[in-house]
Amino acid sequence: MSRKVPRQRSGGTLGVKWLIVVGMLVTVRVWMISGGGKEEGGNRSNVPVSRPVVRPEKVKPGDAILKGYGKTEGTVQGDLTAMAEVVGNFALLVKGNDPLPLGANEELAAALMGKNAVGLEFVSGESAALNEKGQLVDRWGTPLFFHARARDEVDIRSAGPDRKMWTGDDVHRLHDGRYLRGEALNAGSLFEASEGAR
Amino acid sequence: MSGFTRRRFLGESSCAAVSGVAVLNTLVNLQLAQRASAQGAPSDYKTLVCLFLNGGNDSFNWLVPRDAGRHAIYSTARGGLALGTGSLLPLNQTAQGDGQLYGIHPSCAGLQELFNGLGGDTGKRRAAFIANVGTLIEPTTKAGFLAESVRLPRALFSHSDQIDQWQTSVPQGMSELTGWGGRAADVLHATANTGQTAMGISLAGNNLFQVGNTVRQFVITADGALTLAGPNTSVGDDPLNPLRLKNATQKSLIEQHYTGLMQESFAQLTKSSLEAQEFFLSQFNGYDDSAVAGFFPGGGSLMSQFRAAAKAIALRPQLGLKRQTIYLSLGGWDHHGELLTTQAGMLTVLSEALTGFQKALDQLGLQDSVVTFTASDFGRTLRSNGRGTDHAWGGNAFAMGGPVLGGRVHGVFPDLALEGPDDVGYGGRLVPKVSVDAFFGEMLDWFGVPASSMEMVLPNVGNFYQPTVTGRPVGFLAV
Repeated sequence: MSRKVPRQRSGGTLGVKWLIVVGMLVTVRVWMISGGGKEEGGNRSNVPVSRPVVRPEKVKPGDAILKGYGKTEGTVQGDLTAMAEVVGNFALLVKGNDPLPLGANEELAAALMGKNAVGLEFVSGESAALNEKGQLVDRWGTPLFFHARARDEVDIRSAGPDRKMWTGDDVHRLHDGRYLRGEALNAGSLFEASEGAR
Repeated sequence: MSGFTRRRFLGESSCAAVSGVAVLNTLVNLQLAQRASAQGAPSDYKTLVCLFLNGGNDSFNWLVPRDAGRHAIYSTARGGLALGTGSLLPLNQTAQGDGQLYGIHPSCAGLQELFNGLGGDTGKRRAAFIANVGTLIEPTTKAGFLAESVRLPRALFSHSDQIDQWQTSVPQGMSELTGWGGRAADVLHATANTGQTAMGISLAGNNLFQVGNTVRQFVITADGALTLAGPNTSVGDDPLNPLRLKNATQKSLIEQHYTGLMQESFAQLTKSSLEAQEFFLSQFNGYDDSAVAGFFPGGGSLMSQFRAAAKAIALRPQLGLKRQTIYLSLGGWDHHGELLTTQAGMLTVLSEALTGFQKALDQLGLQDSVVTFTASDFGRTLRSNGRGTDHAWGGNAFAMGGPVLGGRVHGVFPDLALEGPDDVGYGGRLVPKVSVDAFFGEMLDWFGVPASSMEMVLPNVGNFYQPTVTGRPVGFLAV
């Protein structure tokens, strides 16, 4: 038989009080640094001049995932997996009914760069995965093809080294991480087999 | 408030929520039953046949403008995928058509005959097209789409989501998925039908279209129903055949009585399902369709589905079905890599099967009680991606049957210019002019769903037209 343990309230209350005090001190300090206590036209010669804190530009999450994208030491499969992670993580962060535009490459690229419901810049415009037209491209510079099976199942396809989509050297990563190979790579239909061929 | 704890509050409120849902469902069902019984049982037989083209048919190479001006625009948009006017099969519209010239894909000689008149008889124009149909929540224009000022269907351009939306007719999504055919059965089945066979019969496995709140769908194969000991079982007469023994064992298991409520319910449900299957199979096998067998040559999947569908329709009196929906499908229309050759082969299959089916119905004298229509995930981009096309939005649908005002292109055929007034961008993705609600609402009106119940079957219908006030919204079915 389990026994109820009384809650330890005093420690938690004390912690909250300390947090409030520390927060107030920090607020006052920031206010003073920003010149909040200065009187209009007052003499500030004896007040030390504050310098703005320079913080390094925060790396965007998508850029971090795509750090090795298109590098010679990597592979196209690695690129596509990274891109799939970018798309998947972006959808998780943006949420909503339609976090991902599932139509054109350019629409998805724009969403990743900030044209989305919450204005989240997930990938910077300088990413190696983007070309000057705002398209997401593979390591050979050809726009990727995004194939929406469902809103949470998107395949990604690279045109491969010949830079021509729908040829034998294409690399097609399915949404579940498998790859299309052999005849399936250029089957008559990407969604269900072509029964008309029977 | 002694004794009223957080745990108790959560527990009781959860129970209240659950029972609230149940009460609400019961009220809705009672309301449906009340309206249906007020309507009374119909005296005639009617069947709606849905052929779903999985993958997204490129329907702007199926129905093509043939006059010089519009064909030039079409050719510019489609580039290397354009069909020449010389290769198109001319469609002769009636005087009530939209006054434009159209052709149909060269693989569709049968559909051309259905459109222009069976056997050259213009009195038997059995088929029509409905131009630029698609999923919409509310009337939508290109400007509204670009400005994001209208509610758009969830996950546009995605296969599974758009298939679901064509089958639910609720593009904003549903917490519990039901199809518009199933919801129509919720309204009609109890009063229109008798017997144990479900109103929704599927020849293509389980589907969303026929899922209702209170009704079930009935899945059969082209050879009839699946049973544990059906007369057409392939195991022969040997009583010691292992498959026959296994079937007999399973059957005996479900005929036992169980003390556990769950086991007993499961056994009863399985038993009634098997009895329904066996009843259907006995009727199916007992029906001689040799008079129309010649309309279904070969043994292709779609042809076999349609032959079985014709039998299921002919058996409506024996099955006790004055209202019936039938679902078939043909997959493989996702032609990203190559369009022209692959689609030509598939359209041949499609055209022959649809034509054979309609001719069989005419032969059986059932043409006036059956409407067949096509649906597909979406239309495809007008611009080629090389040799194929990608996912888009609005597309052309096909409808046939005696009640169809054939020999016409209904709806509003879109401007096919890239970046034109109907293209929402990126290669010719056309905003639909006819909503799925208008398309389906017209058929449901013919089918006998009362105008007062239409919003239960098509929740968005009021955004497009008022069923209790206006007539049929598209006008492709005779009143």
